[in-house]
Amino acid sequence: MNLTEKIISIYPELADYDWVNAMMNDIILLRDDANGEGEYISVWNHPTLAQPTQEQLDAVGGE
Amino acid sequence: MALSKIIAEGVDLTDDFAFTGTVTGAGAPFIYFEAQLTSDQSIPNNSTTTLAFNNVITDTASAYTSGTYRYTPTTAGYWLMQGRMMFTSATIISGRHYFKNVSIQKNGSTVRDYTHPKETSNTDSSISSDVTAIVYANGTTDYFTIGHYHYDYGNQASITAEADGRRTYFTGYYLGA
Repeated sequence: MNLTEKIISIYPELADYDWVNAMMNDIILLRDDANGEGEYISVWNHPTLAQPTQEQLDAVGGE
Repeated sequence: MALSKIIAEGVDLTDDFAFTGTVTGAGAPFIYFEAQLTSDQSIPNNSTTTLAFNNVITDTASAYTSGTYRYTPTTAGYWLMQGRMMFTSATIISGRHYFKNVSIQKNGSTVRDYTHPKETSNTDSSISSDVTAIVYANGTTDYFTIGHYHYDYGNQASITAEADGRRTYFTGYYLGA
């Protein structure tokens, strides 16, 4: 399960979210620095939903 | 050499000159680098991913860190930076609609990018992205990487950057202060 899928598991209302618009406008930006640490939330400026905690992300499943 | 002496006697441009001081007004020093991938790189869907250019082809200023894929210019001024990547054909499925964005990242943030879609009507089995820009570096702490983002509207699948130096590389060239 990738990071986007984990976020959608936490917030099902984001299943049809415009992720491209979110990336282009710095609303939600996910990153992977190719250092073996995997994906992470770099920017979270969603107007109504709180940024998921690491505990929430860990709880919704592994890779 | 005194300027008056040059005027009086002229300069033989076929001679060798061993300057020991600072020469100004003679153009920018020739500083450049190029790095490539050593193996194909999988890029997850919907994440801006640093391209892992860990194979340094040339680096005249020894300013490239292959472990972090960063170029940290040691000379302040303006640089021409370019990143280019080709996706392996197996990962680009005909008929799928992609959004692709390749970016020059300065200190971890996008400073220039290029965006293009792969429409469903496009049945090509391969596609490339590239970005080129003039950027400023302070010569001490500023560093540059190449980032890539894609969104697969069909399967939300990862894609793979091809480790072929002819098509996938990160290069830069010093322009001047």
